[in-house]
Amino acid sequence: MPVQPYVPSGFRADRVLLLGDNQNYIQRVDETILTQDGSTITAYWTSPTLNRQDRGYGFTLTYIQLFYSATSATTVTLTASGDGGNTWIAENVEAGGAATTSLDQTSGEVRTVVAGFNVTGYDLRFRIQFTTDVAAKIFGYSAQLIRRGKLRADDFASS
Amino acid sequence: MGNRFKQIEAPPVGEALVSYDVEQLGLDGGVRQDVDPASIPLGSSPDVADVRFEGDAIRKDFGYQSVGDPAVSSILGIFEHRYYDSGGNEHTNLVRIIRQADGEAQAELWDSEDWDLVGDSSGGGETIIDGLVSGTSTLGEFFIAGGEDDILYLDVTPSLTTREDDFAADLDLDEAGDSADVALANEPSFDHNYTVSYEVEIFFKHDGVGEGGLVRLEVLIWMRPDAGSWTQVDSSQYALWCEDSGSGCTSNWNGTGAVRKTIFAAGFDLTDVGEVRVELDSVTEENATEVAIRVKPCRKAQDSFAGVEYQTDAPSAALTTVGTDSPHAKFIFPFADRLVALGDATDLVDGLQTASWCESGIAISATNDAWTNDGSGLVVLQDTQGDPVNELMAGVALGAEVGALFRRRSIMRIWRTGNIAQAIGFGSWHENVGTESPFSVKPVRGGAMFLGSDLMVYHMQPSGALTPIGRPIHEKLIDDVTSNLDLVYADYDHIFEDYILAIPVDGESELSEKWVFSLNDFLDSQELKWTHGTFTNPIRCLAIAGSFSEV
Repeated sequence: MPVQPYVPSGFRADRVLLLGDNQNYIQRVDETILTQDGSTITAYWTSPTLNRQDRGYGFTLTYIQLFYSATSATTVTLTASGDGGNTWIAENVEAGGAATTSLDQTSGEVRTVVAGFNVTGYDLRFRIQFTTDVAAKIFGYSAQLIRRGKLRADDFASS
Repeated sequence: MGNRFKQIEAPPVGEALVSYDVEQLGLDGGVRQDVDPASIPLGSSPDVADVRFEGDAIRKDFGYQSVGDPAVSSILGIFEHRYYDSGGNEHTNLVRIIRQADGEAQAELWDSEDWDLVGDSSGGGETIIDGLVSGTSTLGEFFIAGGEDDILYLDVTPSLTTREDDFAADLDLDEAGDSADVALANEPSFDHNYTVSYEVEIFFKHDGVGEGGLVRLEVLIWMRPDAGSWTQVDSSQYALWCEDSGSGCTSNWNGTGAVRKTIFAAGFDLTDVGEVRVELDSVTEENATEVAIRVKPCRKAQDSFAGVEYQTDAPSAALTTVGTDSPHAKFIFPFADRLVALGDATDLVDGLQTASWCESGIAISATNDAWTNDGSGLVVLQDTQGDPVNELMAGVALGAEVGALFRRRSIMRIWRTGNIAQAIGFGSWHENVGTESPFSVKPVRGGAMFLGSDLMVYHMQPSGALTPIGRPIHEKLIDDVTSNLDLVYADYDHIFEDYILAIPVDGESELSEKWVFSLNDFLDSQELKWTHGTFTNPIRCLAIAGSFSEV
C-alpha cells in the first residue's frame, strides 16, 4: 500500500477528503471530476445588486461581459433578474438568442465573452451557472446599466 | 419568464440617458448574507452553490466518487490511523466504523480495493449509543468512544500471512525446454520475498571415455504479472561429475529436500506477481551414458515445501477496550501526550461530568494501570455559572501546552501542569458560548474552529481569543440549522486550508449542505470568505486522510 510521506512542516504531502453518505458509501472527493458520484453538480454564483446609485430609479441591464479561462470549450448559462433574484431571465431570450454562453478553450490567457440582456427592474443581479462538466474559471465581469425613470408603487405589484 | 418591469417609465423628455458601467475583477469575496446585497462588495455574492475559489476566480466545485462497497449499516465515522511498527515501518489504515445489529461497533479497513471487516467489539459488550463515534489516532493507536461505554482501540497486528501455492502434480521436467507454471492465488499486497522450491536429481554412468563424465543442468525461474510478459529472475546450474561406469552416480541436491531459491529483486514490481515458472533450460552431457535427470517443482502435499511461498500483508485487528475498567467516554481527544476522555460518569454518579486522562504516552493496559498510574487522572467538572445544565461536549489541543474543553454553554481552558499528581489543569475561560456540535470542533492552523452554541462559527487562538468568523453566514445558519446540532460535522483540509462545515437543514437528520471557509484568507488578510455547497446524497460524516490508495 503506497504511503505518502510527511513533509517536514508536519503537513502531509497529500490529502484526500472522504465523505460517508446516507447510502452508506464512502465518497472520495476528486479534484479531477465535476460530478457527485455521477450526478450533475448544479453550481452557480449570483452577483450582488448591480444598481447601487439612484436607488429610487429603475434600471435596465443591457449586457454582461465575463472574463474567463477554460480547459476546453464549454458553455455557461447566464441569467439576469430585475427583482433581486425572484425571477430569472435567460440571456437574449427575447431576441431569440442562445440560452447559453459559449466559452472557448484557453491556454493560459484570460478571454472575454459578452451576453446581451434587456432586463429592467429595481434590483438587478445576474447569475452564472456552471452547467457542464468542464472546469472553467470566471475572473470577473463588466455590466452596463441604463437608468430608467423613477420607480412607482405599481412597479412592485406582482404580475 | 417574461420581463415584467418593462413598464418602468423612460427618463423624462429632455433628461439625458444615464448609463453606468459596473466592472469587477475578482469574484472570491465569498458569500455575504449579513448585509444588503446592494452594499456588499461587487466580488462577493448573496447566494452561491457548489462554487469554489481558485485564486481570485470562481469555478465549479470538486466532485466526488464512491470507493468500495457500501457498508451494511450507517457509517458512524471515518478515520485515518497512522502508526509505526516495531521495525520502524510506517503504516496507514483508513478505518470506517459502523454499528452492528447488536449495537456494538465494527471496524472496516480500506485495502486499496474494498472495505474489509477487520474487527468488532463482539463479546466486549461495548455498545455504541451515539449517532456518531469520536475517534482519534494518537500514541501509536487508534481509539474510538461511542457513548457511555468503555473506550475501544483497534488492536492492529501488522502481521504477514504466509501464502503457499503448489505446482500441478507430476510435472517432472526431464528435457531441456520443459517448464512448469503456477498461478498465485493470493495477490501480494507489498514488496516482499518469494521462495520457489524444486528438487533436482541427476543420475548417469561414466561411458568409459576419458577420466570421467559430467552432466550439467541449468534451471531458470521466471515471473510475470497477471497480464504481462515473463521476466527471468533466477538462474542456477547443477553439475555432477562421475567416474563410475558400473552402478553410476546419483545426486539429489540439498539432500533429500529441495532447492529453495529466494527471489527478492526481480527488476519489476514484486507486488504484481501473478505467475511463477520453473524451466529446465539446458542439459549438457560429457562422457555420460544412461543419463536420467529430473527437476521437480514442489508440492506441499508430497514434498517438504510448497512450490512458491510468499507473504501478504493481512493485519489482524479487533476492537478491544483499553483496559478492564477504562473510563466511560463519549468524546476523546489527544492532549499533553495523553488520551483525554470526556464522559458523564454513569459508572460513578449519574450526571456528573468528568474528564479522565491516561498516564503519559500509555493508554492501553490489560490491568488498567494506564488509567490509574501516576500521571493519569480523573476530575469531576462542576457545572459552571453559565448554565445549570452544561454538558461536556468536546475538547481540542490548541498547542502542546494548552487546549480547550467545550461544554454546551461555556469553554474551559486546559493546560499541562507539569505536575504528575495532576497532569492537566482546568479553568474557566469563556462563559455563554460553547458548542452543541462536538464534531464541529477541529484543530486548524492558528488554533481551532467550531460551531458555537449560538450558531456562530468561531476561530479560537491558543490565547483563547475568539473571532466570530461566521458573521457573513450567521443569519443563514440560524434560519437553516433548526435542530440536530449534535450531528453537525466538520473537518479541516490542511492543503487548501479550508474548514468544511456540514450541516443538517430544516430539521433533517442528515447533512445535506456544507459551508466552506477559507482559513488562509482569514489568517493572512482577515477576510471572511465562505462558500456554500450541497450533497446529492446527504452525508453523515467526513474526514481528511493523508494518503489513499486505489488499485
